[in-house]
Amino acid sequence: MEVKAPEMDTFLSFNNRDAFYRLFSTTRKFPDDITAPLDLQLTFHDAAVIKFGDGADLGDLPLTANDDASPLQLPTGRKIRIRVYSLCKEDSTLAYFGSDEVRTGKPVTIDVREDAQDERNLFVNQSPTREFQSVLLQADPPSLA
Amino acid sequence: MTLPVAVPPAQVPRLASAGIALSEYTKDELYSKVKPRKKILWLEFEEPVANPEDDYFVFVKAYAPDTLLLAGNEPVADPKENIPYLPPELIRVITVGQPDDKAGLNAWHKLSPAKANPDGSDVRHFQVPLPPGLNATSDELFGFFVCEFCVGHSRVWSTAQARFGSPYVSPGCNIPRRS
Amino acid sequence: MRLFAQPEATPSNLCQRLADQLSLDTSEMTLLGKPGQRVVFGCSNKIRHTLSPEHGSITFANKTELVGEWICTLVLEIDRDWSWQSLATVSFEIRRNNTELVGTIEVKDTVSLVAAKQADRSKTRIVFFDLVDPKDFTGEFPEPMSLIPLNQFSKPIPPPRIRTRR
Repeated sequence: MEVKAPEMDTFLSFNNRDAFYRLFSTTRKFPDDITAPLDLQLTFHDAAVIKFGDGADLGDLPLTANDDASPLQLPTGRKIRIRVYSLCKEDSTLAYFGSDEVRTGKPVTIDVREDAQDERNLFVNQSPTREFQSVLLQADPPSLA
Repeated sequence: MTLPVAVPPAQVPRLASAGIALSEYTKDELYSKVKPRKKILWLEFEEPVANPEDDYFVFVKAYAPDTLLLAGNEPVADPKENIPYLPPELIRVITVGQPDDKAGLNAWHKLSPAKANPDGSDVRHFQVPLPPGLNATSDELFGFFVCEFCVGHSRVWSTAQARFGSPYVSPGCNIPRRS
Repeated sequence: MRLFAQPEATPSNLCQRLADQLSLDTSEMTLLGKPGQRVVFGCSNKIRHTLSPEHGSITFANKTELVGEWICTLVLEIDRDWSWQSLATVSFEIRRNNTELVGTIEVKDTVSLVAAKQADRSKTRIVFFDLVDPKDFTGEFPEPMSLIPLNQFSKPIPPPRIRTRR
């Protein structure tokens, strides 16, 4: 799961090239019936400030449980990119798969976005003296060489 | 939010005349003695202060003793010129709720106006206060002072740099000893 | 370089003084955010200026315009992280007395590299400048001026939804 970052800010993406912030990763099992679709549940939350870089603490965004029944907890007011990979079974001894890389399939990208329910409290509470000031400047004083 | 005045007064004082005012003549019943009369220097300006929030101010720029009263024939050094200290205010910040801090008001000395005229016209006569650091009997009062006069914002919130207007310099003022 | 008749150590450069007061960095006539901070600038047309493409820095045309004038600054912090994108192109309108439009602020979908390195991505700072002429008094003589703080602004307009799936 990734959220769109401002352009030029690629430092927190999965590949350090895209202007996205990595949010979290999770796994879901396909149904036993291989012809049935995987039903991916999404739940959107108003999250004022999300913390990036720590999967155990996402700030105002609730964590997504890593079980098949839990929906993905996503923030509102952001462009979200969900990249879905198929992942094959564990094979630590590589008895079945030739290498670990072939266990991962080609990604499918899903873009989602949901508007926030409540965007009040938009600004940090500051004292009026910090918010509004009037400044009078004098000319630069002459300097001696 | 209120912003202080940041524009100095445009009025420049012009002296019309000057003189020495004496206190009342007080004698005893038998006319055997009279009380010493106090003296003050008064000035008359050509115009009253135009802005009701402003006053006339004075600053003593320099002092030199009367050479006729000095012992010896050695020349006297050029008097040192004083500069009124006003904070440079390279940056002045005003925030919400900030009160009047009377910035720079003490750099010059206010002239005391005469009593109101009976006809209601504005006052043009003012008393000059004693220079700072001197009292009524100081010997320095036998010398001469270079005085600057200007119009300044007195009863309105102003920045220090905009407090006082352009000065008028009067060299050679003699402020009388008061007794 | 010695400063003439300065009783205390004060930055001599006009822009440096303004930047220090607002906790910004400066380069010549340009104000910009400190490294790691995302700052978006706006300015009324009373001050001749140029904004960088991401509006993360402002360059004033010359110093003399700023001398002896009241530079009214509005500084706000958006309590959202950098990934939040619910603002329109013209993100905020700054109005005087709820009527006269003083200027706008456009929070662009980009940041400077200076801001992105070791960044604090939890908020975005907005700095808006306006100019008030102290000689602009209505009476015959100079008088203190009453200002209504520039905090009357329009709420952000959410952009249209792109695509949502549940």
